[in-house]
Parts: sequence; C-alpha cells; structure tokens
Amino acid sequence: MNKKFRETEKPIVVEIKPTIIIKVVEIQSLIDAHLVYAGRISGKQYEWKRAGDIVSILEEDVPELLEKRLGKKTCCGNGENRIFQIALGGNHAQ
Amino acid sequence: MPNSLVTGSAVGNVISQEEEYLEGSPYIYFQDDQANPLYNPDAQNYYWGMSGTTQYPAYLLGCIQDVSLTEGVTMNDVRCDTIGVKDTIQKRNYVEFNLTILSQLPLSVIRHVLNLSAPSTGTGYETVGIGQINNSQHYHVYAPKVYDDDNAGWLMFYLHKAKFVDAWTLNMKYGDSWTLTGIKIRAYAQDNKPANQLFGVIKRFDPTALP
Repeated sequence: MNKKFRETEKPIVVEIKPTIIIKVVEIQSLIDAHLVYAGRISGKQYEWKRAGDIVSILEEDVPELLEKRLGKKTCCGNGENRIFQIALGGNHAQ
Repeated sequence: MPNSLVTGSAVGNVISQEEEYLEGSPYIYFQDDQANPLYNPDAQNYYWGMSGTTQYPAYLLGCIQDVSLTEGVTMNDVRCDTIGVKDTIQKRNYVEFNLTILSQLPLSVIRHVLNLSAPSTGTGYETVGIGQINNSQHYHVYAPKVYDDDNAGWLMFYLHKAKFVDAWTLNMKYGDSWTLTGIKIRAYAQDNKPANQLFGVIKRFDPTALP
C-alpha cells in the first residue's frame, strides 16, 4: 500500500463499464383497441391502450410491428388497415 | 318550345330535372364524433368531410346491401273544426340510414355497429365483450357516391351526430353468406352547427352539370 495514504483511507476505484446503447423507436397505435403484442426478436411485451397511444419499442422489434395489418384482406375501399405507424404525435402510453 | 296552351305546359320560368339516374349504394364511412370534419367549415360554411386520424380512425363499412336513407318527422295537422285541415306543422326528428351488412370482420370494426365493448387485440386474437350499450358514443357518417367517373360527378351525404340504433339480427343461413340486418344509423340534430345543417349536409360535385 502507498504510504502517502493513511490506514483508514482507501484508494478510489473507478470502474468503467462499457456503454450500452439501447435504440428505441416510438410506435403509435392506429386501432382503437387495447393492443398487446410481444416483440418477436426481443420477446418484450408492449401494450397500447387506445388508438393514438405511443410506446417506445426496441429497434429490432419495429419492422415486424409496422408490417402488421388488421384482417387478411380488405373487401372494399382502399384502406391499408395498418395497426401501427412511427409516431407522429399523440399520447404516451408508458 | 311547344305551345303551352295546347300541351298544358307551365309558362314562365320553369326549371326541370336532369336526365341523370343514380344507381347502387354509396360507400358508408363513420368516425367518432370527437374528431373534426375535414371541412370545418368549408368556404360556404358547411361542415362535412372525413379524415381518419390516429386517435379517431375512419371506418368503412364493408359489403353492404339494401341501403336506404330516410327520416323521422313529427307531423301535426292544423285542424280548424269549422273548416278542416288548413296546414300541417312538421318537425324533423332524425335522419336515418338503413342497411344490411355482409361483412362481419374484423370485430374491431363491427363492434361499433353492434354496440359491443372496446376490443382487445394481440397476435392471433381479438376479443369484444357483449355488455350494455354505451349511449354516449356518437359518430359522424360520410357517404360518398360517385355517379360519373369520367366527369368527376359525385354526391355525398354527411351526418354530424349519429349512432347505431335498434336491435340487430345476425342471420346465419345454410349455404348463404351471413347477413347482419336491422342496422340503422340514426343522425340527430347537433346544435353547435348552423340551423340550416343541424342534421347534416348533402353536397354534389359535377363540373359538367354545374358549370
């Protein structure tokens, strides 16, 4: 031990942890329903309580959610029946 | 101009109807009445049009049949017992679409028509409950009908404050598509609108007929 320090003093140990960057994307519900979906990649469960709610989604789960459509095929008109979109504004659900 | 005295035609300023016959049903959209109409108002101060938003999506009813638009009116004769009926007092109570729907899915849409609960949806399922009817829920209704594709002639009906009323029947027939009958979309007076459009607006676009 360095003799410049007294017995009661301990050296300061600075531990540097590697920085982990979690990328999230804000995804908004377009359906007026209580939506519960699990991210296929992360397994994390996300919940939107009403249309317009915005939830932060892990980046790896985003493409699959944006691909989701309500129903197999639309019968009439030109509706896309998208369930989610990248947030443009609205209520934060979490 | 034929000789009116011979033919019996009226004389003076006469406006006749057009040789234009409409066919088929309009599309019928509805949206929560908390949303603003697309034109709120337009240049002539009419409130109409629909734009689905994230919070208030617009819904398009799917395969529909037997659409009719009617109204409910209270009529009372002004009866003078010395002479008879001298007039009739009329009051418009509501305007109403009647229709049959052959598309029942998704539940997230039809639940509005059937007055069911808010849905829960996830991967592989959607659930709605059959509970009491929410009487505070109202919708805008927008029904456009294009009658001349070549010349962009079309007509639209817009109702400010409507709801799905009366008992529905879901007919599950053997060898036939399911039909949802008894659907009535009744529109009421919305008193924050100008008096001339309390119930709604009908608008026609036709650059060839309305130069």
